[in-house]
Amino acid sequence: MTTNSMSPAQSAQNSRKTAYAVVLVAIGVALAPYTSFPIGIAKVNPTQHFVNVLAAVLLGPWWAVLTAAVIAVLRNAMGVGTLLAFPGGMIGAFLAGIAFRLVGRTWAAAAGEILGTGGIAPVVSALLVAPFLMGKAIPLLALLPSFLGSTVAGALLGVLALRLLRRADIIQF
Amino acid sequence: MIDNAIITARNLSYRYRNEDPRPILDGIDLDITAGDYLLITGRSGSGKSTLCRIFNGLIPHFYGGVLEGDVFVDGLPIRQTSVAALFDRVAMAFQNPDTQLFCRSVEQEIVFGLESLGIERRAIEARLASAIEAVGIGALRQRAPQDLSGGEKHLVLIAALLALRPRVLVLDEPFANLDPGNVRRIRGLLRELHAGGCGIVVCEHRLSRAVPDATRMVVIHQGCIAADGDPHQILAHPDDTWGLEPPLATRLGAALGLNPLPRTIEDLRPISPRTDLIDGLSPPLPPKMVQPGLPPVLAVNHLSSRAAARAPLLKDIHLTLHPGECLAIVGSNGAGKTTLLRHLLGLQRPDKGSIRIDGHEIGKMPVSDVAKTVGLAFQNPDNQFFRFTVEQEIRVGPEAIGHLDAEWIAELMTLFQLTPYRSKAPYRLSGGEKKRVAFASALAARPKVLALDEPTAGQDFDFRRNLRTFLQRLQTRGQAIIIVTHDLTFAERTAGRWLLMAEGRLLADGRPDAIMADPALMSRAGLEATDRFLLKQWWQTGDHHA
Amino acid sequence: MLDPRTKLLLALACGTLVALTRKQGWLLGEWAVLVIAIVAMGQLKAYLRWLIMLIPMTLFFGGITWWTADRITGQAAALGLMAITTVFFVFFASIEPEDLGNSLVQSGLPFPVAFVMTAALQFVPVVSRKARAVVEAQQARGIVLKPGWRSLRNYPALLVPLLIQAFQTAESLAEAMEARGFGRSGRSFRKAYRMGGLDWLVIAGGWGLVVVLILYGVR
Ligand SMILES: Nc1ncnc2c1ncn2[C@@H]1O[C@H](COP(=O)(O)OP(=O)(O)OP(=O)(O)O)[C@@H](O)[C@H]1O
Ligand SMILES: Nc1ncnc2c1ncn2[C@@H]1O[C@H](COP(=O)(O)OP(=O)(O)OP(=O)(O)O)[C@@H](O)[C@H]1O
Ligand SMILES: [Mg+2]
Ligand SMILES: [Mg+2]
Repeated sequence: MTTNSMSPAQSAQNSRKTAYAVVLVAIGVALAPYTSFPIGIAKVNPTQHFVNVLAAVLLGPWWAVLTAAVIAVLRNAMGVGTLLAFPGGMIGAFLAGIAFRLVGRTWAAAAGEILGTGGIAPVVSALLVAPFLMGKAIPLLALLPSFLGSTVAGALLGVLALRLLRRADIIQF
Repeated sequence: MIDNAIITARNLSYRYRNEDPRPILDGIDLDITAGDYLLITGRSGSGKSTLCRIFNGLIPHFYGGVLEGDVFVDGLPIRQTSVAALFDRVAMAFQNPDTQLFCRSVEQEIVFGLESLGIERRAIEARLASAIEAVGIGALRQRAPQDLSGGEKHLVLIAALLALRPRVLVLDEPFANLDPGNVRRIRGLLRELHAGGCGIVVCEHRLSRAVPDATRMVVIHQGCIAADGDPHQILAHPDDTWGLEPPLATRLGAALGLNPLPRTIEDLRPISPRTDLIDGLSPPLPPKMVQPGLPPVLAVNHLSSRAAARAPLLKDIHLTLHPGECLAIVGSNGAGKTTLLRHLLGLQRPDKGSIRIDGHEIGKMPVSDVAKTVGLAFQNPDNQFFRFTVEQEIRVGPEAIGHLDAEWIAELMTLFQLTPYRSKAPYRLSGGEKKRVAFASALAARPKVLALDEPTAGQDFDFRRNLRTFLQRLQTRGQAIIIVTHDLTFAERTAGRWLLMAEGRLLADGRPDAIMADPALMSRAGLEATDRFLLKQWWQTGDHHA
Repeated sequence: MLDPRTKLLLALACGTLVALTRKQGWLLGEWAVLVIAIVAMGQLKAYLRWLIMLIPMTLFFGGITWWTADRITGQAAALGLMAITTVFFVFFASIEPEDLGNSLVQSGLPFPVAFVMTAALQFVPVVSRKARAVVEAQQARGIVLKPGWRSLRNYPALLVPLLIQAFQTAESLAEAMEARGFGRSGRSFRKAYRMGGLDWLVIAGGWGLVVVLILYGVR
């Protein structure tokens, strides 16, 4: 017989979290073409942020980061995403998870997601490409609106969905 | 305790939640050995699936809840043993195959469990090869599981479990969505496994498909074991409250006082004919209820349709339907039945031919307009529920197309016996109740044609009997009805007219008896005539001494 | 064939090189090499499709940099962004996500991480099909669901059934995983990923070249 370090119930819980992550990733990748719509010059895709909020609340920060990372890997592998999908998703997911853990409210997760994706991700993305700026600073504010539009839409949709599903007694958190 | 029992339950009780008023399972005593081919049956919601989940420890480890009493699997106490330590002793397949296949290829699917066991590479290859060989799915090795047909998915799942070399194999409703050909194949496989010394446990509602093979039957009623023993003995004198439908052969045998009871209708073939008994035991066949002189509500004219560059999906379909008529479209898995329904609603457009509903050509009409005249209930009711109460759910369709008739809605609630659930959340209902909400919602806008896709799949005897009554009542009001099914027993008692389909073509259009009387036609469609029809035919033609 | 981990290390080397390249001529040259590799892999069509998606973002980014700094910096920014994302396009075009995950598991990545990657890939088409089925079921009742702002108020009719079923799917997937021994420790692997001599050679060569170029040319 194999010896498991986890108790039987913990091991089941681990499988459950893995399965939720699988399904959330699938939603993130599959729904993107349905829900992206243009705002001005940028094409906005709220699905990523929607999934981030769900993952942060249901699974916690680490699983949320993993979910966002896998979505980025798959979107890259399918040729529908770029390198920027990594910082664009993972930072928000992490902050959303932490915020929810600290405050225990869905709106906190949404705020974390908006701060992470709208505020910090552009900075990191800019750092990623900073070498090409040859030491010249550009106003990061200029990058903000395109990130912010989609993250606000997605995070709010995520909060709505969570409330709806809780009211319908489908999920508990 | 029986010495060679692999699963032993003593005074077992279970609740999913502490606050449940009544235990879901209540005082169960059960021993299952590797020699058993056990059929578990009982009404919908009686606790069959719940009982199965205990056999490999999913209850209590995965579901939580309150488990009382003792359960041992292979001598291990279930409470202290994780699912990971039991999964290869009691291998389990659940109701829906779609969510149970998660690997990239069929091979990988079979290998997954072996990797979990930590078996070394050469042994993995050997077990993989023998599982594929045993189930006969060599041609599927590299296919993606998600692209397979329903029957093939079940075969792959069984192969994946077989490779684990389990002591007992548990299958929860493996036949629900399968046509007779696939059912026969899986039944044959299970018989072989049983003969090879593997215990088999099957949950099933349609007893005629499982009783002939089973060596033992357990009836669950309200969480208790109501009967446990030889299937034929139990079915000779079933309690009405259990909600069972004994196979025709058993009922005839009991009525004739035969001992031993016949296993299949084959066993009744040689006895002296009693056609009168058959008619007395099964409900009357439906009349052909067409009022002469009324124009057809639906006319499909030489319809052909193809998907991209593939072979045509539908070829030259021709049919008419009158008010008050009930038509059954029958055919095997993949015959194109659902595809035809999708065309009636405009979800798919034909390449050739036309569809007229109530005198109007649907042509390029938007789906939301066609929806006013055709009410379609899809196979899976979960796809449509999004409101918080049953009543809102039924009203939302007519509201969307501006066609709301409050009196009619109230009438529908009564007809489908939904009034007690009016303010419950639809997704919290049982499978049968959900189906009834979906049917009511398809009728809510007073469509001219009502179409139901696989209305009886996975439903218990009560549901099937009630549905027949609902449909007959609608028919007498002049409703035109189409049902799509491979449940021929239900189809022959509900619809006076059949449309036989195979490979996208119409093979026949006529009375059920006329169609079943042509064996060549039936085998081309991959279907088998019903027990009632076959036995009657043998007896009437004097073919019974064969 | 090279091990997926080798490809990952090579991609990181190329990424570093591109990120540290200052001379626009060199940047163009590196990009050209990448495009040649793409053509050799027979991925040109997919690359062009991907480029079209990327162009608005690049123009936007380059434009802002030009506007706030100068034309040269703007060009470098756009070109650099293009080249570095192309490196990873090549990387992802050259591997199967499943191989990447499984090989990393053999280097110590927790198995659930790799499992999420491979299993999610199987469920993407399932979710798309489900979304389509929900849209059709609602249309059949006269509820219109088309992409765009107009049917936004009908979105719950898509999202609620989809999410409810997604969570039910997750529950039964978890159950099925348990029933196939997902939680058991001591997993073995049918396919072994081994870093051979060639792999180490390629890694050393690739990184060596990058270091040399960074020290003596591209900056
Ligand atoms: N996960 C769950 N949480 C709470 N209650 C549940 C759960 N699963 C089932 N039940 C309840 O337990 C009872 C028995 O359900 P179970 O699924 O075992 O019935 P069943 O006999 O398999 O029915 P069917 O023939 O419809 O599959 C039902 O009343 C059901 O509502
Ligand atoms: N959009 C499509 N593109 C290609 N093939 C399709 C499409 N839709 C259906 N098919 C194929 O057409 C055939 C008929 O499918 P359909 O769903 O109508 O069968 P069915 O008779 O309803 O079967 P079942 O009894 O299993 O529900 C199947 O082989 C299916 O794979
Ligand atoms: Mg069940
Ligand atoms: Mg069908």
